[in-house]
Amino acid sequence: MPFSEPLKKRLNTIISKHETKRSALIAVLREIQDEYQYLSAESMEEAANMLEISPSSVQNVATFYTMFFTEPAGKHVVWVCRTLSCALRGAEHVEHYMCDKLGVKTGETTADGKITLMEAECLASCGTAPVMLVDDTLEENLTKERVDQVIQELRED
Amino acid sequence: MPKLTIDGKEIEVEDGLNIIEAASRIGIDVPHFCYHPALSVVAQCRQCLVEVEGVPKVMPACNTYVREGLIVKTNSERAVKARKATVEFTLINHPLDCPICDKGGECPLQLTTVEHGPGYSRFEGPEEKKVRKKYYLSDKIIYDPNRCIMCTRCVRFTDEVTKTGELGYNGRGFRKKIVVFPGKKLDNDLAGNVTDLCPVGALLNKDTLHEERVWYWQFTDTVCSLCSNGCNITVGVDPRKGKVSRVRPRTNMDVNEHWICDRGRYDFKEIQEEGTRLRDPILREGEGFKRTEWDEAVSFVAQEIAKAKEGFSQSIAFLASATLTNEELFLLKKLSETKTPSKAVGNIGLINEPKRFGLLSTDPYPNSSGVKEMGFPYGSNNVLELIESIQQGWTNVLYVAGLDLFDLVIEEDKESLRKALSKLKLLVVQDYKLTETVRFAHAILPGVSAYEREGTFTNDRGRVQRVRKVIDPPGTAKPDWEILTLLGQSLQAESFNYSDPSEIMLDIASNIAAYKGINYDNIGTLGASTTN
Amino acid sequence: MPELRIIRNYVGIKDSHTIESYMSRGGYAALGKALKMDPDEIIDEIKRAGLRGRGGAGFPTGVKWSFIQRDSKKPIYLCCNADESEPGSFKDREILEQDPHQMLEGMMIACYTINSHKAYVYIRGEMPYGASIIEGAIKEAYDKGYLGRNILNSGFDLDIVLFRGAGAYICGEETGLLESIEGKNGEPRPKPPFPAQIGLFGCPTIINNVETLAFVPHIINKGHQWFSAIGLPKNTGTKIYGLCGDVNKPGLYEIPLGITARDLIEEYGGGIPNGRKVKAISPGGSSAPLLTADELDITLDFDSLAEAGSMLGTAGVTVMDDNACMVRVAQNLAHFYRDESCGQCVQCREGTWWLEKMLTMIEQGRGKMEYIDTLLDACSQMRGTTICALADGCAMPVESIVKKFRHEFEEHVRLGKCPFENKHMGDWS
Repeated sequence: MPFSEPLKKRLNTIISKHETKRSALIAVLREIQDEYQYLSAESMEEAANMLEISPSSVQNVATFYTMFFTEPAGKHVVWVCRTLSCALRGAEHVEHYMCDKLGVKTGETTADGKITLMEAECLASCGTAPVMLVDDTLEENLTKERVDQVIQELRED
Repeated sequence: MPKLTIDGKEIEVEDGLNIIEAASRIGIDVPHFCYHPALSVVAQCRQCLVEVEGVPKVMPACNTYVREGLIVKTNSERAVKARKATVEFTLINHPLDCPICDKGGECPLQLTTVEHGPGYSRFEGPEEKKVRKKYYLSDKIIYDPNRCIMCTRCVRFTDEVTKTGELGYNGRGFRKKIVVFPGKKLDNDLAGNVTDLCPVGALLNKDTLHEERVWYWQFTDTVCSLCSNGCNITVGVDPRKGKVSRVRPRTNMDVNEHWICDRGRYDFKEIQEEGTRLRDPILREGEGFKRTEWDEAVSFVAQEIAKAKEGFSQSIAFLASATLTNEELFLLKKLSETKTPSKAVGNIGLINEPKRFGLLSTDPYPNSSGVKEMGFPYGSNNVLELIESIQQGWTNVLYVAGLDLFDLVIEEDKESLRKALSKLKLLVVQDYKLTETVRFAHAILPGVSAYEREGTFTNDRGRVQRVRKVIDPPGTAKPDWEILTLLGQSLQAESFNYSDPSEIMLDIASNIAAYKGINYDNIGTLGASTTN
Repeated sequence: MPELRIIRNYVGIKDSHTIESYMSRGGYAALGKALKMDPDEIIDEIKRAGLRGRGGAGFPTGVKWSFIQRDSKKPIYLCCNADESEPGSFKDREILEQDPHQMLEGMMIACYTINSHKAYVYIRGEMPYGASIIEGAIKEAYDKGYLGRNILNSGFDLDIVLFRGAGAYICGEETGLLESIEGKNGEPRPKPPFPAQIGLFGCPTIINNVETLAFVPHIINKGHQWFSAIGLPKNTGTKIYGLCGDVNKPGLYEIPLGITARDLIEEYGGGIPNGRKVKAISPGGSSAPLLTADELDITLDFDSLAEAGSMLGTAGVTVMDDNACMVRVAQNLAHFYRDESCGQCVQCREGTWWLEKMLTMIEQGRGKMEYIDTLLDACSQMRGTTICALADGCAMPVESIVKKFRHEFEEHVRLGKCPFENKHMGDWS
């Protein structure tokens, strides 16, 4: 499916703000993912055409950076930090609790397509561990109650 | 010209060389996988680590450039230890399946492991290794991510050499693998080169998968005959089968750099197909044909040529192909001029657009230059005029060497060509394969393919290069220079006294100005330029 | 040692991220002063202040700036490294979110000094809130005339743009960051050439950390003598220490360089929860070799930690109590580096994978005694053999854990299982 005119317009604005077309790639992919929840082969190819680079080089970047999805992802993405400072304060428990609650394994999306559960490497908020990034919001000093609440909110959205 | 010291030996080399290249000048081999002279330096495989005096870390030789006073040690304890460790890391996830790997026997990783590796692995349990599925990158090339050591040569090749960008990466770190974009293929004209670039058995040719073992092959340096560029190649033949197994590029910076196209690489099969090759001399007998001996065929054809030459001078014509060697063209021209000068025409190909990737020419013949330089009138007009003169009945004896006339006319004109050829009093065809022209011949003299002959081709940039015999022709087929020598000897023995193509080249050199001074010694393996 | 808030002077102030708040605290005075100074004078001031990079390597900032050939025919770039991703480090996040102008003013002064007219803030993709704050702050600075053409009538022009990453620790490596801005995978470049010669888009480039840049306006305002009097000789100024892990009061503390680990944990961190004892600390972000409970009197500054075989790094201190399984700690870190390795160099791509594999096998009771020495040997061959320091960052802590807690590894092998009872690391409710 080709990009809609409004999306194209937004992408062209993004591209015009960068020093080279290529350097707009990450911002362009972010914008496309915001629209479609993931980066399909068609999207990547269309982005490649807009930036005048090969589709392969778009795929390189789309699969290098963890925040890009090349398979359909959920409406909401939850990134649970797994790295040492969070682990020392219970991150492994948080992740298992989330898996149980959502009925998915890490990396999977709930059957209703609402929530994708991901493991994050250090989210740079070690002083308020354990933490997770829920879409654009950082959730700190996680407790079971807060996790329950967050899941409830996401399910209802 | 900076002076530097490598392993205690002082050398002076030109600026801009890296340590891998500089060391090779004095016979020191620094092992490497990712470095390739035609590709950008990425310093990723870390196999070329050496010690540089004054630098605390071991340095990759590929990204260390010569400078005055540099002292490099490739054989210090630290350097040797670092390279040994690199081999161990490289083999951590590399399957040790060399017995069933096509690269076995010529695998840089295998060789480097033997020469520089630790000789053992401390990583236990193959069940712990990463296992990922193989997949095809094109109809011809298969990729095994388990064997891949991420040198990225193949990706840099499609980015930097062909600039077609088919290959990319998926994922990062230990998950990284080489991929083509969904729905696309690695199918550019030079794609097959990635199988040579790959320093392990990760990129392999599907056509010979699990069929060949490189250590049986005998390699011969020759040139490709599929277009006017004259790419330098090495042909591998399994002598047990007597067949060509693999065609590979041979580096010649003045001709093809490091590459060949996929036609040159894969299209050798045609010459080995059963049923298409002419194996023995054949003469027309009534409505049919009979197989015969060379003595009979040669004396018959020589007699007929002599008879024709005694008559009206336009009645016999010789038609030469640009697939013949310079030596053969020289002999054919000489034959046409023996006793009385007769009509002789050459067919050449044209270069009418820039070469694709700098090496694929639109001229499909290896020796159009030779046709011109050996003195044949050429150009499509001359060939069409000849056909016209056959149709008019002015030419009634035709000697065709190495080409199919039906390739030269458009579809609508084929019927009238058939009629014209039927009218000929005598048609002699010298060729290695069965063509439509052959069907009209009164005498068929089986020649050989480009893999079965000795001689020279002159490429479109005036470079004279040797084509070498790599396999035996089928049946009693003879190299074309030999056929022409036999005919010449029958006609006028004293001036066709050749026992080897190199002797013919000496005659060419003394008769044709552009070839002055050229002989097989100075042509060597990389060719010699004609003078214009 | 008391806290000394130089760059954390925003703490407790409402809307501290706004330009009004920043200016009410004396913000942008240093820019006006700097624009009247000679660039060499500024470099000299920074050098004499002894400011060392706060991103991890501790390289003298003034010396770094002096590497730029200011009359270059090509454009010169400054990149602010806001890709804070080192496990245990969370100091830059607070500056970005609470006081972005301090960092921007530092960037402006740096750009004027190195004759750069274009600068980037590279913020990691997982900090969307920080990104929105920076974007707002840049706009405010343009509106007030601190960015754009002819800044404060000095004739100096400067544009600053925000660049958001998309999830890759390796983009915190200088040249990985540059590749990422260029729209590529954040794969570090072989060096030489160094960024000061060939950096962003092939042009001379300086990359500085957020915290480093935040100090610059204060040094310009108050002079090098003031700054160099704080902290220790050659380790001048304050440092934001991040305290996390098994400690009662985790958080950020700005303290003159030279506090001991013990004082930081006891005085600021309020000790260890549940009456437990320190088993080990990671003193400077996860790449630093660990210290044991016997090494807590080492002062946390660049040179003392280097002398002790570790490093200050980002000064993110992670505390592990005596309930922590050190094999699991090592495995957790190796897992991080394995997943964050860009995959170029074999020692890193395969080495991090191999370490993680061996550590997992030991933790699960499938390890063998000889793995322990193999781990040490693999670590030693991962150090100093790759394009960037990520492999070193993995090898150094793992090596130190194996050496300092070898008995725990041996016990795992001997028992054929983890001797610690808890199924998951840490407690949670």
